[in-house]
Parts: sequence; structure tokens; C-alpha cells
Amino acid sequence: MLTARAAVALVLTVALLVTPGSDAPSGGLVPVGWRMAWTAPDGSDSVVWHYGTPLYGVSEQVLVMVDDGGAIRVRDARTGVPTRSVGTFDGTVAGVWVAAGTIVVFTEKEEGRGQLLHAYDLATGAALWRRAVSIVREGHPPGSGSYRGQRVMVTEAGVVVAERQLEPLTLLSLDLRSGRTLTSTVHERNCDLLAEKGAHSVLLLDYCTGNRVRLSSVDPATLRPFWTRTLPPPALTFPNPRQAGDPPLLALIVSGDGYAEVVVDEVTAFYTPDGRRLPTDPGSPTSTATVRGGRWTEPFRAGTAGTHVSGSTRWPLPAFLTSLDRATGRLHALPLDVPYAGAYLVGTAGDLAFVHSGGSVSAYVLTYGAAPDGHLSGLAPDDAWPDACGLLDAADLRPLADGYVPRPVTRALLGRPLPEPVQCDWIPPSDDAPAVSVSVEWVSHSDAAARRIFAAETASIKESHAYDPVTADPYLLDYLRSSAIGTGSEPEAVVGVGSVIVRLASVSRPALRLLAPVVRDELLARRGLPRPTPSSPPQMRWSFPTDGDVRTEFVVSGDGVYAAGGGRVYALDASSGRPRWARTIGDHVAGFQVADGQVYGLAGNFLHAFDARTGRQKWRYQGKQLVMFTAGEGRVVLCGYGGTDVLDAATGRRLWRSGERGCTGRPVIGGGAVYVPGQRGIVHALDAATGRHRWSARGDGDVTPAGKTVYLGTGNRVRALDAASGAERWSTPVGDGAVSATVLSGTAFYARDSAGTLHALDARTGEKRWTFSPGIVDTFPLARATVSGSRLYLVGPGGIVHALDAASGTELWSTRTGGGSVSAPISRGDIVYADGGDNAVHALDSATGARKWRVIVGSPAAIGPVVEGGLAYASGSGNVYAIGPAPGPGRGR
Amino acid sequence: MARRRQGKKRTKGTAETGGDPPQEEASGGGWKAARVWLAGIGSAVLIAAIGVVFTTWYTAGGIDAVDSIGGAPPLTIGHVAVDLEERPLVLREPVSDPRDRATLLSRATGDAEMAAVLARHRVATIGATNVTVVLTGNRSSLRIIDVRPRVLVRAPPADGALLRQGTAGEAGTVELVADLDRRPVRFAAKKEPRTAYFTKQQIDLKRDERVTLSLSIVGESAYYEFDLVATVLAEDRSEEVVINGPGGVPFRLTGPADSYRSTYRGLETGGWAPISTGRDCTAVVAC
Repeated sequence: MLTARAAVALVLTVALLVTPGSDAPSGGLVPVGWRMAWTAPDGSDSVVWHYGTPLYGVSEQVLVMVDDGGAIRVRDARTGVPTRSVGTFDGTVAGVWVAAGTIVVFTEKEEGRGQLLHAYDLATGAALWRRAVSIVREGHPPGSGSYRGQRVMVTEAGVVVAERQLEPLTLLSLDLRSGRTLTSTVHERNCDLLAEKGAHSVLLLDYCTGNRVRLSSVDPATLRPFWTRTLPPPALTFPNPRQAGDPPLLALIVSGDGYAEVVVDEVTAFYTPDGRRLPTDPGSPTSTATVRGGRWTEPFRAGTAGTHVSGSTRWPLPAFLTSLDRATGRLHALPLDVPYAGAYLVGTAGDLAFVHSGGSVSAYVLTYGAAPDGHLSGLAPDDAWPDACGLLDAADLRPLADGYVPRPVTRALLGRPLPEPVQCDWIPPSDDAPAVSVSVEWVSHSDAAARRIFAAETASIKESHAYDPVTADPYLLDYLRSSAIGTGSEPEAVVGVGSVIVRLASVSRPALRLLAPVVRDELLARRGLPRPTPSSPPQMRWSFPTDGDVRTEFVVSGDGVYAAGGGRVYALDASSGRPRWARTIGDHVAGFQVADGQVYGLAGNFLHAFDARTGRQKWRYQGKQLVMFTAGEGRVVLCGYGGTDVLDAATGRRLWRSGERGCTGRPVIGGGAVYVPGQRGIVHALDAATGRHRWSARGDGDVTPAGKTVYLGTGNRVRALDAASGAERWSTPVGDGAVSATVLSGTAFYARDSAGTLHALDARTGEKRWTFSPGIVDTFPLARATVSGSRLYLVGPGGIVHALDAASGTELWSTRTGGGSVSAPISRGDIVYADGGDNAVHALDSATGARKWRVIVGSPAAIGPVVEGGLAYASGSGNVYAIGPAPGPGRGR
Repeated sequence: MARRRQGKKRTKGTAETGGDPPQEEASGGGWKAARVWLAGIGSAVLIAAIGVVFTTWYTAGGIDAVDSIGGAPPLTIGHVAVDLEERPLVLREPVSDPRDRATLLSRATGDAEMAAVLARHRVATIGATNVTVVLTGNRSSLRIIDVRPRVLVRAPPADGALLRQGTAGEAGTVELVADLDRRPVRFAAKKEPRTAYFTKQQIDLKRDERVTLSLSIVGESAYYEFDLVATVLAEDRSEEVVINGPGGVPFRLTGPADSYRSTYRGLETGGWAPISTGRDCTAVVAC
């Protein structure tokens, strides 16, 4: 008998330990983590944002999602195994739900048209009903009387449809199993309304005239309220921006089991399904379950851990699932093995949570265990977090400058202060050296978990930012973080070794190139792991990291390479890549040119001129709303919205100003004239010395001056004009659309039309010689053709390089590179170089087009227009490269 | 009439002296108990009556009188914010103290710490500043009849350090603008710059009712320190309420300087980076 009792007790204990369920555990166990049960690739979005409708249906038994072919795929919730497909649809799936054994699907034939709701029996897949709905997209007009919630809400008690976004705001209730209309209501006028599906109800949050805010729970079947709570009103505003499009911020998040997070302006409150307000402090989540066996709600969201530091809300790295303890009302958060950026909670059911992140959907199971001693649930012990200031020392930074000082920063994780600084900012002794920031982004409870987060983070970086292929290795990724405001990029590096993930940041990429490997090696040494062996392809002679994107064309002139990256201009030795000088001219360089022994850089409203050899600043000119410039023939032409200024290149002194405001294209200098592409498709020819107006002519394409003739693109025509008088010498139509990418070579004039077709004309008469169509091009601007001897090289769509006979236009060969090219191919000896959309420079055999080799240079890959000293020059991911055939025995392989 | 007078006199006398007539004293214990009982009832009625009167008075405006007597201002200034995120900032002095410099350059400086460093260096926006003020009514009924900037300091434009920052878009539209370069200094609607706005529009508030003022102050020709003065009418009395900037210091605004002694750019991930034209670059690592 005793043995039987013991066996029963043992079975019960085991059952308690292994049985998941947020409501289930007790016996002193507390939630300690989310364990990934399965993951499946899914490239689709998780929500149709303009309808607020989910593309996942979740229950404790199944996850219903849309597969690549647009069909509905049912997976076992706990294993991820596909069990069936449901339905084929004439249109796009715009919403999926599952409730009470019923799958509901919302489809539309085209945006806002042909909308249908379909219902299927979950067990059999049999169609239950289908009915048309009209869910109107009317935008979100300012002020009262608009609907801003989910347009369809499916509950076990009924389907609620919000058909309109403008008043009258109607809610329609349908029977889940039959689709018939149960009832409909019209919401009170002059109210902004938000609605979300609850566990057994629909929650409504509205803001009405009179500064009234209410939260209601309504029966999905009858649309009658179970309860209504009046919430504290937001502050009045004066003058009244509410009427000018600034209603109070309303947000409503409802957990799968019906607990609501309500935000009204800056006030956040939590409510139980029966409308009781919880004493929850929204700013202090923890991971520790203070009440043993306390029951947690299903998670509200996947997001940050709630820590907010000025300018950096990115710490810590992983996503956390946040729940409420029903007993205490406290918020609890536990980490996942994915970065929080891009993680989205698509649904919950009992102890299951489904998260979309990085092109896949994953199921997590809440696990229980004994409350950990000394550290928070689901997290690494505090002493596993390294001192961020111990990962570098002043000696490591000495190559940058002597006298760096560490500034340690401590932080609390889920309300618990970590003992060591998690961030260390190394402050330079003067403003001439860069600050360097080292942040311990995360320490996982296991190496495997850290590798998953690191892999997801680096995959996301590679997808959305330019990364440095020169320094990338299994532990380190150096990249340019794109600025959200579009004015530049910020260099960063992420290092992942063992359970630790560290991020470094500095405005100086050379500093990161120096220091990120030091941090990596320090962490490897602590784990007793060997350093990775650096490797670079033999064709890469050198690479130089600038401080930002190389957005403007770089220039090879003499034995120097000149480039602009970030806010700086650089002069590099062409053979070694060694910097000769660099100058900071602003946040980012908008224009760059080398002419007449001077380097010009445009940043903000200043044009800077430097001596190309020494880097000495010759002059600086301040204009007004400057847009672009051109230098040549001892002049500099500056286009701005205030007019066009022409400067003396030697002194920067303004010689004259034209009233022509702005330039629709880059101005051109040639033959003693300045050509300014102006408004309404008119090109103005001005005397370069005096500014005297010579003539104006229609022209909206490239301007190419050559001796006594100037060639203009005008609509679909190429025109040759007399440079002195503007009189037309000839005019030839060339295909459709605007003419661009013009090249004058000997007696031939080449131009591409907007479809990408290349036209060869006789430059003297305008007579057509031949045309060549590489296919319809959809990337602009079009790359010019390159003429080399008797051959002409051209890039077409798909990055296909075409070699043509320049005289006849006959194609000699064509080779596909790696997608869209941005630069004209260049030819040197037996090699043709082309850049590709695969972030690489390709070397092709000039005779046959056969691929010789390729070098990854980063994004966007661009090659320079000059081959100098046997080397081709390229840029990508903020680097400048010199590339050539591999020296020695490996040559040409 | 005489009786009435006598009676009245006696009553008055009783009330004034607190003594009882001798004949009542001889009337026996029953009457005394009844008198005590009646006195208790009377007192209760009196207290209740006073309570009713007081409550009526209190709710009708007595609380205002108490607030007035207690010196409580008619408005409570709940929140004052200056939008520093939309425009370049200028510090009056360069940041030279090592601790302040570390705070400025660090990517992990908290909002309050950074604000303190900027405030110590008398941070000002260039050309315009947007101010948000939340006021709460502290009387049963009041009217804000005017709000105006009051210039406290006028000096040459600040040039200590220029802090440039990217903007995510257009600054929020603020309809009320005051130009410190023009006299008289007053708020006007953008569409009617010549008309003092508060001569046409006033703000009525009840007790505990809040109002958020969104105000723009512009000025190009000098460095200004100023506060805001709200004139409030309550119970036929007008009072002035002075609104200072965050931290109790004046609001600041500066015109552009010809040049700045140092320049920084704001980093999206936090902190400020000096834009140094003197950074050496003859070796890759030192670039």
C-alpha cells in the first residue's frame, strides 16, 4: 500500500515537473525560462499592418499560418509538425485565426476589394462557411471619430468585424460556426476607438469628446458590455493640437488570457479580464517569481527588458517575453534566444508562445524549476558578466593616442544591479582621437544560447547594414550601422565568444579594426580558445577603412587614391593604401572631386578645397543650401537653391553669380563655358569667365562639351549644338525616354535610353551606327559603356557584362556576374573588371569573358574608373580597395 | 415689545455671560436634564448648521480663500519641457572639465546627467525653441488671461560649442510664437503675427484641470535668457505666475554665431562626437 502510494506520489511529482502550463505548476516551482520547442522558416510578415490582422492563428493544439504558396498550413503547436493544409484562395490571405475548433481566414482579391471571410473545421478541414465583408480602408484621420484597432477579431463566442474606420463606427458580430450575423452596433459618435480581442471578450478603448477615456469589455456575440471602466483623462492641450491631428496616444495590448495593458498618453495601467486595475509598476519588470507557484499570465509582448538608457534602448540584446504575475500584479520578463530587434509575439496559448524573428517562427514553452539562488531566472549568474572595462586597457588604445581614460557604466538587469560595469566608454585625451565604447550586450546561460543570439544578430546585420568582409570571422563582425535619419552611418563591431556578446562602437573604423580583434582575442583567451587565422584573398592588395559609406565616386589620380567616407576626405598612397592625409569636413560628404591638383569636398553649406599632395586647406567657401558642384578649368561651379556661384579655383573667391536657382543635374565646365541644367528642362550656357549668358536650349539629359560642339540629351533625342551660339548641328532620336550615360570616343557618340539600350551615333553627323539592347534595365542611374581599343564593354540587367565590337556593335561575349552593377566595367590588359550585386568585384577574361576570379568587397560594390599601376580600385562597405591579379604562382587562378 | 426686548436681553445676557437665571437653577433636576439634552441637540444642530454653511461656503469658493490665504499660487506648474531634439544646440562655454567632457562623449550617459552638463554650460537652441508647459488649476475657477516671455539676459550670440544633431523630420507644429527680437514681446498666432493672441483667447480652468501649453519662442539677433509669465484671473484678482525652464533655470535661446570654438555631432546611439579637423592620419590606426 505504501509502495503504491509512493508510486502515485512519484507519478504526480513527475507529472508536475514535466507538465507544462502556465496555470499548472505548483509545488514550489517557479517559471525559469522559455525553452524553444521548434522553429520553422517563414518569410512572411506576422501582421497585415493596415488591417491589424494577424497572419497566425494560435491555440493550445495548433499553429495556423500562411505558407509560401498562400495556402493555410496547420502545424502541431508543440512539435511544429505540419498536420494539414486548408483551403485554396482566389486572392491574398490578409488574416488567419483559430478559435473553438474553427479556422477563420480573411482574404481579398486586391487591396480593399473582393474581401471574404472563410471558416473551416479545424478537425476535418471541411469548409464551414464563407461570406463577403467590406472592410474599408479610410486612413486614420485626425481627431475624434476614427477606428484604430484590429479590423477582425475572432473569439470562441463570435467573430467581430469593424468594417469602417470613420464614423459611424460599426461593429458587426458573426456566429463562429455558421457565419450568420448575430448583431451589429454603432459606436458612440465623436470617439476614437481602439479594439483588441480578449480571451472571451472584445476589449474597447475609446477617447471621446469631453476628454473622456473608457475601457470596456463586450460580449463578442451580443456586443453588449460585460463591464465599463472610466479611465483618468489625459491633459488638455492649448492651443488645441488634438484638433490638429494629435489625439492622445492610445494603446491596448491584450494577453491571450485576457489581461490588458492600457496606455493613455504617458500613463500605463494593467487590468484583469474582469476589469480590476492591478497595482502594476510598468517600469520595473523582474524575472523572479516572488510567489512560489504564482500563476503568470500569458505573455503580452516580445520586446526589450524595459531598460532605457539615453540614446541606447538596445541593451540588453535579447528579446524578453513579458507576463504578469496574477497574484502580485508584478511584471515578469524572461529572455529568448533571439535579438529583440525584429522579434514579434504572434500569439500565445497556455504555456506556449510563438515568436516571429529573423525570417522564422519559433514555439517556446514556459519551463519551471526551483527559484534560482543569487541570480534571476533564465539568466546567467551575475559573476558571468565580464567587466566591460577589463576587455581593453590603455595600452591597447595607445596606437590611437596616449592617455585614454575608462568611464565605466553599471546597469541593472530587470531591476537587479549587475556587479561589474557592462559598458565602458574610453574617453580620449583630446578631441583629435576618437572615443571608443565597449558594451557587454548579453551573457547567456549557455554557450549554445549565446551562439544562437549571435548568429541571429549577425544575420540581421548582414541583411540590413554594410559589413566589412575584410575583418569578418566566426567571432567578429565589423559593420556600418545605417542611420535611421538617413544622413550617414555609425561604425560598430559585434563580438561573440562563449556565452558573452560584446558590441564596440566608435566614429573611427580604423579604431574598431584595431580594437575589436583585441576584445575578441581577450574573450577567446579566457575560454582557452585559439585565435582565428586571418585570411584575405591574394587578389586584394590592400584595403583601407574610411569612417562611413563611400557614397561619392573615389578618384585615382597619379599615385594617389582620393575618397570620401563618412564626414572625411582621404588621400591614400595608390600602391600601399597608406594614408597620406585625411580631413574632417562635416557629418557626411555630399560631393567630392579632384581637379587641377586640388581635392574638393562639399559638406553642409561649405565647400572645402585642399591641396591634393599635402592636404593643406586652401580655402573654404560658405554658400546657401548648396546641392552640388563641379570643378575644372580653374573654376568651381556651385549649385544651390539660392543661385549658382562660380568661384576661382585657386582662391575660392566668388567670380560671379547666376540667378539660376538650383540645378536639376550636375553642372558641366568645358571650352570656357559653364553649362547649368536648370528648371523646366533648360540648359543654360554661361561664359565661365564673366557669367555672361551665351544661350539656353532644351536639354534634360547629360551635357557633354567637346571642342566647338556640345552634346545634349533632350527627351529621347541626342542633339549636337554649336558651343558658341547654341545653334543645332544635328538631332537624332534614340529610343524611348531620357538619354543618359553618354560617352564620346573618337568619332563615336554613345548614349543609353531609359530602357538601357545603347545607341552608337556618328558624333559629327548624328547618323545612327548601331544599337544594342542588353535587356530592360530597371536600376538607375545607368552605367556608362567603356571603350577600350576596338571593344566596348557594357553592363546589362542581372549584372551581365557584354563585350561588343565598337565599330559594328556585334556582341563578342557576355558573362553574368552577381546581379546589378553600379559602375561601368573597366579594362586593363587581359582583364575586364566589373562590380556585382553580390558585393564582389569580378575579373573576366577580356578575350572570352571567362571568369578569372572575384573578390568580396562589401556593399555596395563599386569599381573606380581607372586602372593605375596594374591595379583596379574598388569600394564597398566603407572600404577602399586595390585589387589585381594574384602575384606569383597563383596569378590568374 | 418690552418682553421681546427683555427676553432678547436675557437671551443675550445668557449668551454673553454664560450664567443661568437663578429661578431656573431652583427648578429641579428634571428640567436640568432636559436643558442639557436640549443644549446638546441645539449644539448639534448649530454645528450641523455651521457645517452646512461652511461646506457650502467652502465648496463655493472658501477653499480658494484658504489657498489664497495660504499663499498657494492659482496655477501649479506640473511639467516644463524644452524640445532640444529638433535643432542644433549651442553651449555658451566649451566643455573643458574632464568629467563633463567624459559625460558628453559617453554613449551611456543618462538623460538627466547629460541635461545637467548641458545646463551647466548654458545650453541654448539656435533661432527658436519649443516649450511645453503643463499647468494645473489651483482654484475652483480661474482664467489665464496672458502668457508672455520676459527677457532676463540679452548678450552676444553663444559660441562655446556647437552641437549638431540629425533630425528625424520636421519639428512639431506650434501655433503660438513669440519673437524676442521684437517689441513688445508677446505670443501671436502664426497666421496673425500682429495680434497678441491672449487678447482674443484665454484659458479657463477648474480646480485640478490641466492644460498643456505648446509655445514657440524665436530670436536670431542675440543670446537670450528668459522666463514665461502667466497672468491669472481668479476671484476677480489677477496674479502672475512665473514659469522657469526645467530645473528652475531660465529658458535659453541664441542667434547663430559666426564661428564656434568647438563642434560636435550627435550620435544616434548616444553621446556626442567631436568633429575635429586636426585628427592626424598618417597611419591607418590613427586615422
